[in-house]
Amino acid sequence: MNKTSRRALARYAADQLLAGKSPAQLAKHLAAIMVESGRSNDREFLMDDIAWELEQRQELAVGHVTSATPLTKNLEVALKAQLKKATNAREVLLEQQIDKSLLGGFKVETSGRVWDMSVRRELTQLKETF
Amino acid sequence: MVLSSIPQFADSSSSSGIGAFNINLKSFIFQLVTFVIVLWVFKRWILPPILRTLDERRKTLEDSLTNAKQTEEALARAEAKAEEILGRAREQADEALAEAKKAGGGVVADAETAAAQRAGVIIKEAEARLNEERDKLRQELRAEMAGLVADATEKIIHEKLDPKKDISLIERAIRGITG
Repeated sequence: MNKTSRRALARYAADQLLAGKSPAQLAKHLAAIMVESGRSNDREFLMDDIAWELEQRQELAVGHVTSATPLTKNLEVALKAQLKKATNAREVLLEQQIDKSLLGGFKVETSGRVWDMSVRRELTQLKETF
Repeated sequence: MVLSSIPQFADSSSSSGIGAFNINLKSFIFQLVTFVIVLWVFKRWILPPILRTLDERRKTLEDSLTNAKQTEEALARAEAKAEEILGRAREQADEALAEAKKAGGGVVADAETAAAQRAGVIIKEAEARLNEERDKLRQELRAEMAGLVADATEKIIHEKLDPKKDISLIERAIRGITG
């Protein structure tokens, strides 16, 4: 039996989502395919691939935001708006997490890009400059 | 008997002619004939071999002299030739010596130049190594200093950057996100 590539699955999933298929049903379908082809462990990668596919199609950008201080609602709105501009995506979703080691500022990663505006990066750059 | 007749012959003609010189004509003629015979015998058989021997000796002597002269000339030529060869050999030896001296001088000069160049290269390499080491040390020192500064800055920021200031920082940083 031929295995469908993960990229092809991601493209298929993006097509289905954009066609209005229920995410829950699609998730079940994809899970069945992954289990059947013995690639259950690749589910995280598949999710990343789907997100990348959606971002490339400028439909949805999922931003993983890391900061030392939790973002306020205003900041979330401002960040979403800025990410929309930067990625040209129709919709932006934010997933937040706290990391005190960043010291200050934030870091946001989408499927295709990374913006590191943290104090930690500034310090690392300072060290690297010297 | 013949001898005894000679004074008688002398005595018989002593009164006139030859006899006036007290010479016996018969004896004189006899002696003359004897002399002529002896002379003829001498000339006929004795003188020729003597002359021949003398000629041969003279000829041998002349040949010897000629040979000696030729030998002397050959020796002179050989000496001249030898002198010439020696002279030429001396000249060649002198030239070879001069060339050897010149070449020796050149070799020494070349060796000195090469040694000077090598010394220059070694000094340059040593300088380059020193500069490299100095740069490396400087870089390490700078990195260490930067590390210390960064650590110190980190501590200060950790103490000084409160949530309010961080929010303000994030607000400013959001504006920095561009496509």
